[in-house]
Amino acid sequence: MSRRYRSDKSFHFNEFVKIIKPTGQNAQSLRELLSLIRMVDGDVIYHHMYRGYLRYTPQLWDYPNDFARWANNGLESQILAEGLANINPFEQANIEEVRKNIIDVIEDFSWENQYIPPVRPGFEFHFERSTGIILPTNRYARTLPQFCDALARSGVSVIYYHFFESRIRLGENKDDFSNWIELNFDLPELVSSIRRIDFYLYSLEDLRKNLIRMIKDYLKR
Amino acid sequence: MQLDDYMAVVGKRYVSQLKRLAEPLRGLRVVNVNSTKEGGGVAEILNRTVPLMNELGLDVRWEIIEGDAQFFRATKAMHNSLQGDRITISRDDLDHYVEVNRRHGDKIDFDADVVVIHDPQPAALIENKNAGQHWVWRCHIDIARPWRDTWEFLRKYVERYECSIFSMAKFSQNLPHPQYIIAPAIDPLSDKNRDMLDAEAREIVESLGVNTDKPLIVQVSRFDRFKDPIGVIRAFQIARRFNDCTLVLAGGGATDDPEGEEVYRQVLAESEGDPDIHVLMLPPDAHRIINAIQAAATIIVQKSTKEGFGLTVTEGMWKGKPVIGGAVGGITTQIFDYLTGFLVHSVEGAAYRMRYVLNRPEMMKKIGKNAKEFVRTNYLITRNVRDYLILFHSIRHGHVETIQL
Repeated sequence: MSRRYRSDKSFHFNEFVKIIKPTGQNAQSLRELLSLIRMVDGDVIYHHMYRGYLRYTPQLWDYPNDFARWANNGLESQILAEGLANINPFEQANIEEVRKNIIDVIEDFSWENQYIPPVRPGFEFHFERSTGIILPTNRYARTLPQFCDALARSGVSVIYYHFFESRIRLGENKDDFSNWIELNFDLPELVSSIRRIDFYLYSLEDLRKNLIRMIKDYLKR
Repeated sequence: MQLDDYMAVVGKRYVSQLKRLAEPLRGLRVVNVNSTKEGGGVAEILNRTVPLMNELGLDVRWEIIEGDAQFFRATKAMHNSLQGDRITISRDDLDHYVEVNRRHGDKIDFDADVVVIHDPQPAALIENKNAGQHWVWRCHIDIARPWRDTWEFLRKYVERYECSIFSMAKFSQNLPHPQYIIAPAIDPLSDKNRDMLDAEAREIVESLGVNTDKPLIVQVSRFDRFKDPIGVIRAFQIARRFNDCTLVLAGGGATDDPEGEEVYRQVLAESEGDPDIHVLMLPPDAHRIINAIQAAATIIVQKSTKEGFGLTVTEGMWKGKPVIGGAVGGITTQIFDYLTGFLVHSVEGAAYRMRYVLNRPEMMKKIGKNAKEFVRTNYLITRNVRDYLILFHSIRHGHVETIQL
């Protein structure tokens, strides 16, 4: 079998599970939110900007991070929500850069809007961090059809771990899937297509479907 | 009930994940301590969780702290004041609380790796912590706004635990140790939540004198002013002007609660002579009847004005029903407008959403389906087991951010 179809190195699928750890701090206004964003540890910002992807709510995928979601639901300010949604944490060099971006967006919004809406009662922002566990599964693949099959049968936390958490782990804004394909198959176009996915705007389930469709399309060629 | 019985509900993948998570914890000795073996949500959860964890290979025990009338007077006052009532507990009662805890400290076998103490009643048992043990305080109650005298008293014990667990982020406190969230959960195989055939549900509901020919709007809740049963009646009366329907208000008997009695009487007075409103006072063990009422419902309402987590919302969603809930407490974490139900802020809002849903059977079906899936993923007893397994790993690894198994 040619290198195009079979890899010497198998891809092992890991799941990722987490438990949430509240810090006990909460914001009842945008001002308090801003002040706490300046103060909290980096892992708290990390949880709200990255690990929020690993959530199981049937919400429409309007806003990709906890701060933007809160601006929409708690503050009912779509302008601020849109601003916060546009911060792509995966493009920042480190968590302090991410923090600075969030602060800039909130400060710009506060400067441009004299009226800051109050928070809906019961929708205060609660700061959290999390402990995550990387949990090996018994699923692995040596070929792309096996890969698609295993991906289709896995829980969505597999997508989170190999597509999102990997970018922090590998430090190059790269995902494990395209990395494996790049290192083991002669399919540069497929690798490049996967890396061009605007993944920040998809739910984990949407991403799974997209990835499988994309790989299957390449296999048909 | 065994772990594999849950496979039909949560899937093989989920059960396999639990087994893989539990494998490295095989033989971990855990002791749970609470104040009752029967009755109440904590006992219900432990009743299922402890055997499931043992089946997964952990060595889990469950011990009870028993007390006399004075002890339970003190802990009841403690419970209510932690939930926001301004109650001063006498020095004598507090001393007795400490003494009962001290006596149980001598009786209970704490020889374990992890000790999980549930709620305030046994919190002072922390005095028995040995070096190398991990002690966890699990708070099941709404402690978002505790009365400060009581919290100051309890806090000096809580602070000595390695970590604490709360049901929602809003209940977390400013404490010098890691805090965790483990949301409440329901058991999908219990009498209250198991699948019930439509015919069986209707038969049970009709045996209560309720006609099931018309759409059924249901609120299952204690007769408590914060559950706003009068508001539900008024909302129903508005909705009924446009849609033929029946209202069932079903609640548990709170004979030791004078305010509950008064609310119940008000509800009876408000609904008197109205053949479309049924007020049912049910015994505490009427799980099958509650299941039937929820299963036969067209819409489930939980129009609370103050709420802890709101497990009746979870139960209603698990029955695949659209739920209209007050936008308070944990209801806001379960209901998402147009997706799993509707959040409302007033009698008029509740009436409007009743009319809205009654006139859109397709949306009703879609919301009910979403709601059931949301509960399947987030609020079943299997998730409770999983959270404890993650917690035990986190404790073993010093509460770090990421653990590779």
